[in-house]
Order: sequence, then structure tokens, then C-alpha cells
Amino acid sequence: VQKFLRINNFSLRIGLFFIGFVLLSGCGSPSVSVGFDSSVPASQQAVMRADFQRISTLNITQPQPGDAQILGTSDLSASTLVTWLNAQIRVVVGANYDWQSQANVAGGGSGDFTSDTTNGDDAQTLMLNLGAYIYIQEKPQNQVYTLQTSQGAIVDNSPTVGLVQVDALTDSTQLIQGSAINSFANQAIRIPVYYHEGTHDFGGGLPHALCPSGVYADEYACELYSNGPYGVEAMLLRNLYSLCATCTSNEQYALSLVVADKQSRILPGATFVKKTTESIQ
Amino acid sequence: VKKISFAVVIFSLAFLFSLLRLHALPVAESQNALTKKINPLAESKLAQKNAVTARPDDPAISNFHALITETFEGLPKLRDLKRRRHSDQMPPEILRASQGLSEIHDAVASNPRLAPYSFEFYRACAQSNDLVIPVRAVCLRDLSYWTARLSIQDQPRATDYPQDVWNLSKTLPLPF
Repeated sequence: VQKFLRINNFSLRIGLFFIGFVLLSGCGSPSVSVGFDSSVPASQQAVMRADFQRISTLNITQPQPGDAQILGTSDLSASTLVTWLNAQIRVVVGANYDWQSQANVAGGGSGDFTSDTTNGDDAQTLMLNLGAYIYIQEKPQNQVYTLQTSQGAIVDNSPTVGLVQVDALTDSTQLIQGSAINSFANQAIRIPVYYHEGTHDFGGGLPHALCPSGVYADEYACELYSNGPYGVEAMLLRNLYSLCATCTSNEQYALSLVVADKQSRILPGATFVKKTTESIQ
Repeated sequence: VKKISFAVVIFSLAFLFSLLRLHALPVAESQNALTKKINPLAESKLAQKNAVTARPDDPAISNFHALITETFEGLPKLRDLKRRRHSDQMPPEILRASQGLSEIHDAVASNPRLAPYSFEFYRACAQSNDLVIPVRAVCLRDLSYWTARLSIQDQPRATDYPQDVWNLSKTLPLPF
């Protein structure tokens, strides 16, 4: 009997240790809990899940003063970045998601959408904050649309609903030549895009401004805010570049060019905007 | 009289020949304008100032010259990219410019003797209105980086570059 009790005691200790280890490791590394609609292809989901996993392990140790303020947080730790993203992006839909056919006006009937081009144009996008995009359209009509997704219905009464549509983000044209799709450098280009889209949750969606000149002349691809979507994207890119010391030289230059591109979209005289939230009651 | 006439004819022919050469030269120069613009062997004042001892037939330098010429010609042109709409997508051509720019950086890093020859490339790139702003800013960043690192007196000056290119270059992270 004594022998039996000793064995059981030992098993109990091992079991408790294992449970404690699992609980502690779960607490130590928060994870991104964004849901995917069935319209997102499995291959695209896999790439994005790997990106989200990477975010939870980021260790940005030396941000420049004011970088965290651009995002609106106190620091740029992995847990802060995960928490921020979980709050701003909840469901991702695919490029083929036909939001107009999935939308219903609260109280019955389908949405009467005009071919609004608030987002700028019909050019293919990397991602789109669909919730904010629809909100901008419905706000003048004071109507609220409900969108059906495989993750449940989303009542789009605010830009903060966290509904984003992924498009060309993972296309081969967006990859650094000779660098694997899940290399740190390629992830460092994609990860700030999630934060760009999440930043559209604030204010009235913080829509882009017309570019006066350059490659994007006459397109809504520029910005009047230093802490708007492009400002956030450029700031994160700079910080991820600093973690890319062991990347290849080609990858480092690709990142530099992306930083320059995003930074160049912030127009002279851009101001620091107070990020508020709003909704249709 | 015959001797004098012969001398006059010879002199006239020589004069005509020299005139033809003078007129032909600018044509040849304009055909190779791009190459000459970034031809460090021909034009780099810095190379002269630094008394670079390399010979024109030095394979390292001729290879590097070929690299910077090829890279310059392959950089994305503003007029080409403006034909399309992009929205939030950066044109892939800009991303692909990383290849040549990184090769130039690596070549200079492994052989600093090539640095003076890269300066004309970086200057031509940063000052070219035909190129897109992000690429020009990265070129100017690299020019500033190498001239500072090698303690070259002739540092880039803000007055020599458009303000947007200059300001953007100052926001970019430095090469590792």
C-alpha cells in the first residue's frame, strides 16, 4: 500500500507540474485571435496565421521615442501588439467575399449600395478595412448594415467592428525575390499592413488623402496624419527592420524601400490626430 | 607655286577633318549620356581627389562599373509606374530595385576601394527626376552613409537635392 501511494503521489506531482507548465506558457505568450471567414483560401490563412504567430514573439527592444505613441500604446512589446491587434481586427474575409450580397439593413431589407469609391479607385488592394469602408458609406444615410460571415453576423455600426478583407497581401508580386514567403523579411512587410488596417478603425475611418504628385498622383494613397495608417505602418516597418540584422542584404534593401514608400505617403504638414471612436446609434 | 598650293590643300583638309571631329563628338556623347552620367571612371571627381590608383582595366572596377550601369538602367521609372493605378500596393518594380542596390552596397562593403565609384551612381540616382522618390531617397541615404563612414569631406548637401528626397532619406534606417 505504501508503495502504491508513493507511485500515485509521484504521478500527481508530475501531473500538476505539467498542468502548471501549460497554464504558465499560455499566460506568457498571448496570441492573436483573429477569425477567418470561409472565403479566405486555406493557403492565405496559413500565411496570415504564421504572421500572427510571429507578432506574439516579436521583441522590439529599442523603439525611437514617440514610436509607441504613433500606435497609441505605451510600448511596442509583443503582448501590447497582440492585444492591440485583437481589439482592432476580429474577422478576416477573402477577396471573393461579396459584401454587398451579404449585407442587410437593420430592420429588414438588403443594403442599397452606390458604387462609392471612397477608398480611392478600383485598383487591387493588399487589404481593406471593410468595416470602416462600409461605415463611411452608411453614415450619411444613418443606416446600419449587418454582414453575414462564417464567424457570425457583424453589425457594422462603427469603423471599429474589425472586419477586414484580404486581397493581394500574400501574392507572389508582394514578395522579396529569393526570400521565402514566411521569411522574417516578408513577414516584416506584411505585419505592419495589419496595423495599417486596424488604424482605420479610428475616427471616421481615417480615410486616405489624394496624393498631389509622384507614383500615386491623384490616387487616395496618401495621408494627412503622422499617426494615421501609413504613419503606423512606416513606424512598425522601421522597428522590424531593426530586427532584421541577420536578413540578407537584398531583404534589408527591400525593407528600406518599403519604409521609404510608406513614409513618402505622409504629406508635408501632417498632424498628429487624436484617435477617437464613433458609431451610429 | 605648286608647293604652296599643295601645302594649302593639305592644311585645308586637316582643318576640315578637325572640324568634323569637333561636331561628331557631341553626338557620340549624347548617345552615351546615361552611361557617362554615371561613369565614375570618366567623371568621378572624388575618385581623382582620393587618388584612386586603380587602372581602368582593373576587373573589380570594370565589373563594378557594369553593375552600377545595369542597376541604374533597371531602376523603376516614374513615367512607367504612373500609367497604372496602385492604391495601397507598392509597385513590385520598387521592391525589385532592392537587388541591384544591395549588390552595390555589398560590393562597396567588401571592397571600400570601390566606394568613390559608387558615389556618382548614388548622386545620379538621387537627383534623377525620372526615378521614383522612395528609390531616390534610399540612394541618397546610401551616399550619406558611405561618405560619412569613409570620412569623405564631400558630404551630400541639402541644397543639391529636392527637399522631399532629402527629408525622406533622413527618416530611413541606416544599412547594417
